[in-house]
Amino acid sequence: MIGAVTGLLYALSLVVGLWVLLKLARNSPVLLKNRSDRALFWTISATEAVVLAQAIIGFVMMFTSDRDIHRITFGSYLIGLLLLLPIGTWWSLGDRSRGGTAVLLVAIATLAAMVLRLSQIWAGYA
Amino acid sequence: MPDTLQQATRTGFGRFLIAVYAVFAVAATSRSIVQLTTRFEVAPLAYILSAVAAVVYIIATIGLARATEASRRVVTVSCIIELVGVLAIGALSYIAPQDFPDATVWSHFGQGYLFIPVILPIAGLWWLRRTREAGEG
Repeated sequence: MIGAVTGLLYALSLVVGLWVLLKLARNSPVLLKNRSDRALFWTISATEAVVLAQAIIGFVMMFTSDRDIHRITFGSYLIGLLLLLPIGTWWSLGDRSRGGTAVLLVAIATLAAMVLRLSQIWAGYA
Repeated sequence: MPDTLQQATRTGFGRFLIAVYAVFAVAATSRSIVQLTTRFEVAPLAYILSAVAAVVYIIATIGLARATEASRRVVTVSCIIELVGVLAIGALSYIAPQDFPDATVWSHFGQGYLFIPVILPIAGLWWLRRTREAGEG
């Protein structure tokens, strides 16, 4: 799709992923009273904003381009990606221990994998 | 105290496990719907098995998240089915590749999904066993 948006999402996934891994390694829970954890949440929110931009661009491109792509799959990925971080963050916050932090890692790894699949679908692979 | 059992099941490693199961439930279900509705005739066996896998993942996700005594028993059974399924289909996809012209989630022991499909049921059973006593204490 748009190279810049995809690249930005990979970069943000990498930053959030490493950040969360570091928290897991140090066994420090995500607590919103900590300034650094609030920064982590702002970074996740910024990622969600890029995902939203991607969804808007993606749907516009899907309906305006005459590419032969599987539209239902492509659209499902765009919507699925929108829901991923909010649901993942909600589930993570229900357990302010290492387990909850690990949920953030699952969410961000899934995000990167879905963005990769999205660009493959756009490129014409099923 | 059922609350303790519930808490033990869905916090810590359980929290993480439910998240992974949820991702697989959504991924397998969507993939299965697309396969069954758009090209069922290409690989009927593989696609039906994908649908079975999707149902197993949904049951495990909901069962673990509810974390009642009954739902934990359901998940124990579904994890065993899942383990047998991934081992059988993993082996079959090597022995009889002609029956699997398109991949299922469980083909080649879940290779296409970083082998997570073969680890998940073992992790699930281990976690259920580990948290079993929480309700009694």
